[in-house]
Amino acid sequence: MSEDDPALSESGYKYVKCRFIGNGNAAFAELNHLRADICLSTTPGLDVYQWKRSKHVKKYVHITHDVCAITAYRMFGVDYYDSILLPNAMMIDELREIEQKRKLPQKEIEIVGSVYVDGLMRQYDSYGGKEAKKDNTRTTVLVAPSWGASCLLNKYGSKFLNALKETGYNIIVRPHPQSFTSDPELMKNLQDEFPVTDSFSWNRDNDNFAVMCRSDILISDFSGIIFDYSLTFGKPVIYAAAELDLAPYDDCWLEGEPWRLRVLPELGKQLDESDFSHLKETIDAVLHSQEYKEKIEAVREAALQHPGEAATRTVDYLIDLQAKVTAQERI
Amino acid sequence: MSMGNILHAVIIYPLQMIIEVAFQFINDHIGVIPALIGVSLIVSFLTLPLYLESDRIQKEESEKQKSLSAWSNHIKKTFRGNERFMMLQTYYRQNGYNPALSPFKGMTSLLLEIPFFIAAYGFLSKLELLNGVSFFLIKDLGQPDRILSIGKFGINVLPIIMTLVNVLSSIVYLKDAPLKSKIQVYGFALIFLVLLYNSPAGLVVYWICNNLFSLVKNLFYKFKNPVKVLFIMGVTVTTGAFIMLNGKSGKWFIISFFLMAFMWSLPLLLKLYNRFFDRFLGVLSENKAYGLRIFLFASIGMMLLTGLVIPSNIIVSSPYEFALNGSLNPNWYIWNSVIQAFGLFVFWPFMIRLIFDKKPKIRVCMDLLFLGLLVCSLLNAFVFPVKAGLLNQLLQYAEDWELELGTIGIYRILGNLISIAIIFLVAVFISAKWPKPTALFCGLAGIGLLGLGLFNAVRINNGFKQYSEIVKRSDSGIISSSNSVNPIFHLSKTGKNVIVFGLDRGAGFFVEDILDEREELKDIYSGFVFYPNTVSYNDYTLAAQPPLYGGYEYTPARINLADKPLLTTREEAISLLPRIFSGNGYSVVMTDMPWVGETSTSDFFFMDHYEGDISSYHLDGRFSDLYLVEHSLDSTNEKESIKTRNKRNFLFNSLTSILPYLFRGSLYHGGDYLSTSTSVYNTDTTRTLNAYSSLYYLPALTEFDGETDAFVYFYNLLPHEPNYLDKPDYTYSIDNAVDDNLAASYDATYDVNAASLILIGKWINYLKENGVYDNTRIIISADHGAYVYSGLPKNGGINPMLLFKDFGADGPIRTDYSFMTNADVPILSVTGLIDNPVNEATGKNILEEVDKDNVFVELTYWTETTDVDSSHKIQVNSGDWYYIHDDIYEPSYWQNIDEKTVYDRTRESMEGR
Repeated sequence: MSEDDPALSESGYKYVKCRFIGNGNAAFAELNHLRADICLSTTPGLDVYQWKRSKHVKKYVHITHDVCAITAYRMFGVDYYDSILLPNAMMIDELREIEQKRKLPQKEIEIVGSVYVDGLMRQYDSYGGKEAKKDNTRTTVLVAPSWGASCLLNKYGSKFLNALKETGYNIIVRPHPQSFTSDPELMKNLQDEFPVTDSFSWNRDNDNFAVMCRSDILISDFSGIIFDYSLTFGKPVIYAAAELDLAPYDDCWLEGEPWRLRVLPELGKQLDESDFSHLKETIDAVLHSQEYKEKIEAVREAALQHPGEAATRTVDYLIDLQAKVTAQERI
Repeated sequence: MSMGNILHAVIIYPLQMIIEVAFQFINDHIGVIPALIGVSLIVSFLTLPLYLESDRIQKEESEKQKSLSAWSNHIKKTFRGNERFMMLQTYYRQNGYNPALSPFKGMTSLLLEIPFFIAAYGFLSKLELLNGVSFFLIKDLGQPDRILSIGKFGINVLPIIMTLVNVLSSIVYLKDAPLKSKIQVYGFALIFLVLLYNSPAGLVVYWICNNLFSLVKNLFYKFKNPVKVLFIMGVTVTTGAFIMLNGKSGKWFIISFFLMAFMWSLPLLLKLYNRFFDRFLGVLSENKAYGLRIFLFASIGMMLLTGLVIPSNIIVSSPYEFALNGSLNPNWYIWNSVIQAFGLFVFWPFMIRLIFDKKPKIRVCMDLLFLGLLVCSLLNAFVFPVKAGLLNQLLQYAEDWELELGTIGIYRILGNLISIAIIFLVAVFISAKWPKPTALFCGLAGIGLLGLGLFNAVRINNGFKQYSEIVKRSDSGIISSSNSVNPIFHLSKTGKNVIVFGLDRGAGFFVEDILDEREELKDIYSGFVFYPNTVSYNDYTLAAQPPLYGGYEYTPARINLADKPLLTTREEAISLLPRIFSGNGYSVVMTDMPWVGETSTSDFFFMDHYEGDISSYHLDGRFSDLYLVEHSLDSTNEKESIKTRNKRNFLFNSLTSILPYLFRGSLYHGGDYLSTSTSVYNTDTTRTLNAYSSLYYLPALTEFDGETDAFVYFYNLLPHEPNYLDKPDYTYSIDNAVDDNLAASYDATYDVNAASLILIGKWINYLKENGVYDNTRIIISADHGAYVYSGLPKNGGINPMLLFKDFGADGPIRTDYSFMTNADVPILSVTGLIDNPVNEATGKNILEEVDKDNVFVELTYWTETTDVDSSHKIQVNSGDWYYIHDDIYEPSYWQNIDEKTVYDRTRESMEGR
């Protein structure tokens, strides 16, 4: 949030007050001395990084804004929360496994669905749903990789984009915003090498919804966007076989492969360098595969419980929790 | 005080205290070698549980590190910078591991060993008692042994033996240890060899014992159940000792019985404690915070009691006595004792508690012991205080036989012990039931003690400042810059001079012996009458002085009937003669009267109120340095040694006060508090010198240029400061200082009395040479006598010196056995000289108040010093009043008399006049 965030001047809520807590250490100081019955947050790393639990907050509740991400946080991500609100039951075992390994007390878990995906779905519906696709007979491919050393653009760069260009499809490249900070040179070189044309564009919109909406297929390395994309729009994905290093994440404490990686082959095809020579065929195969469509639907059902009810369920949970906290205080 | 000194006082000194006391106690009873072995055994036994626990901590720590290493390596490899630090911190936190403490935990044993090594090394390497002591092949325990010699080159064998034992012990200990540990341990053995190679043999013997103990300990480790084996050994040894000592000297038999009984009942005691713990101490064990609070508050309370309150209570009654003639603010001693007490009662106990943090039974036991220690110490210090007479500036009691078990008696000892046991158990039960209020009690006790101590410290500071001011005021003009003494007594050659000497503690019963020993004095004191049959109204200064100054209106009975603030009566008495004489045209000079004003210092400021030619001086100590310079003596060492001695002994004195009756005498140990220092400066001769030099320079202070009649009240403390002096003239010399408490020494008291008469004799000759002897009336008097053997029915304290020479009197000194009191001194001063000597304060003619038919002496030891403003009465215990008449040497004339009769008869006699 910044000082000019529109929420700060929003006066339409009766019970919601917005406040700007400052930047950097000032913000941490404010958060670390917060006074509240419950603090609901999407930020991982509580009591690990500079953000410490405040003595004056009775319960910290974490809510994911990512469908798949509870163990994808950097290590010890949600260890110091009291409750976790999950979109589905798939991640409970993984959470419990980590708690057990770290000898942590069990957190309260509530399946509420995904407020975030519910929002995307609503937005999608208001866009006119599947009909919202731009009038374009050409297939539109969205490339939205993550950032860092092992990301798609760093690894394959122009070789991949050239192969893509040769498909003759509409290409929209949307690098992760962080790439412009961490790899400015690479970004500049690629943008120079692949200038904007009729069928090739670079996208840096604040909101990725529109661009996701307009595309037919997503190529990405691992990123939350894969889940957002395929679960919201039901569209298939091609994911690069970036060798994801799980070492910094909670995932690496799990005995087996995390669900979010296990489920990827259901959502689309893994991209190999050997596919570059026949990328068009690969894209077409995925795009028109009935099998993927069915699998995506199955995953969507499992991963998004209580569709459309997440906000209500979240609020209900918080009201219940506050009643419990107050009752406990009375004792 | 530098940081290094403070750290030494906190960490090392408490260990040295324990080592020194144990050493001296055993040395005193058995000898040096057993003391060395005994100290080694005691230190080893006391530290054994600490080392066992620290070994366990070390092992636990290294296992923990091992178990955490996989993930911590993963984190170190994966993350960078700040994030790496925070991730590690979180991981460690989740596993209850503190990386900041880890290095310390990993070397707990070593951290323990270092201070013990420094303490033992510091103590034994300088121990004078080892010097000249031989043992088998060792010629001198105070030197390196040099048992073997190759040509001129001597080889010290003991350090080599020590290292061999050390290595042997290490071999047993390190059988399965990794190479790294082996290198470390053998490295240390080598360092010890280098460090101790040239040390005194005694120190090495101590270390050999330590290493032998460690070897035995390591062998025990090899047993399946070392504790059981140790216990069986303990039982066997103590039982054997008991059987062997059966029929030997009572004390050792009793000690061995108790040791044996303790060993036999140890399992039962442990079982009882365990049961007690399970049943009652759950609250304390679970509520760690309460236990910690009780422990900390109690240990801080102990520190404040022993380091601050008891020492400041001693100093506050007379700060100048501890000021080394103004060169030291006595609060310096308090600062030192506070730091030492911090080490002894807070730092080390806290460290030990920390080591046993994971053993709730030991931890709770320590909390309770410290709580008990505090309440029992408060009980002993305030309900059963040490009553052994005045404490001198070397912290020696004038009546220290009162600390001996024989004097105390079995009933008082038992009563004291039973009270301690009861209050200890009550404290334990209360704390088990109500830990929170108990912690609060300890905290409040601490605050109270701190308040009391700080209040005292402020008063000491003020007293010291006031003393410095008095000294400054008196200093002006007495000694010129060229070290010559300027006269202050301006006697008249043609008029009349009256000189009164008040010799504090001047003993009448010594005078004849002194005159017999120094025949020439009989001629020098020509015209003098000596009154051996003189009594004082009390045997201590405070109650004995007023009659000396003010005559019969100021006897204890009359002071108590007068019902005025004591400060007022005291000022009235002191100013009586100066006011009478100055009112009759005399020039008046007064010096050094103690307890003038509210303190024991001569605060003459109140005399400023009176008109007339009255001047007053504080001479005590003014001439000490001049005397030393003129006689090429150096007192630096003595002052330093007094400082060093008191720096040590204030805390020991406090410990004596908090001990039960049973142990006080053992720790007090004749006034040296079990110190092993054999320094010759254990006696403070400074105060003797202070008074001696004033009398010595008496001729220089006297000039015969007075234009009016003169009255001098010359007060001096020489007989009050017993010390051995150089015969035949009883001259002062630093070298005569000895390691004894001389306060009650007959010989030393004799010496200072003799010196007083000899020095006054020299001054008399000076008067004679200048032709002012005949026109001078001289009275030599004292407030009370001396508490040493006197042949008197009561004690020598009530026989003050009294010698009188009138104008024109001549012929050798003669003795008059008339019954006198020292209240006669003002009468003798004015008789025949002043027509109507009226006490302006009461309007009475002092000659008419003489009452020798009603002499009521009281023998209560009274040291009321603080509230002379508000107190109206001298405290007299019932049974302490005596009626005496005609002959103080006749036992039957000392009639015990009740208080009511004393006051009735005194009142009657006053009304009859």
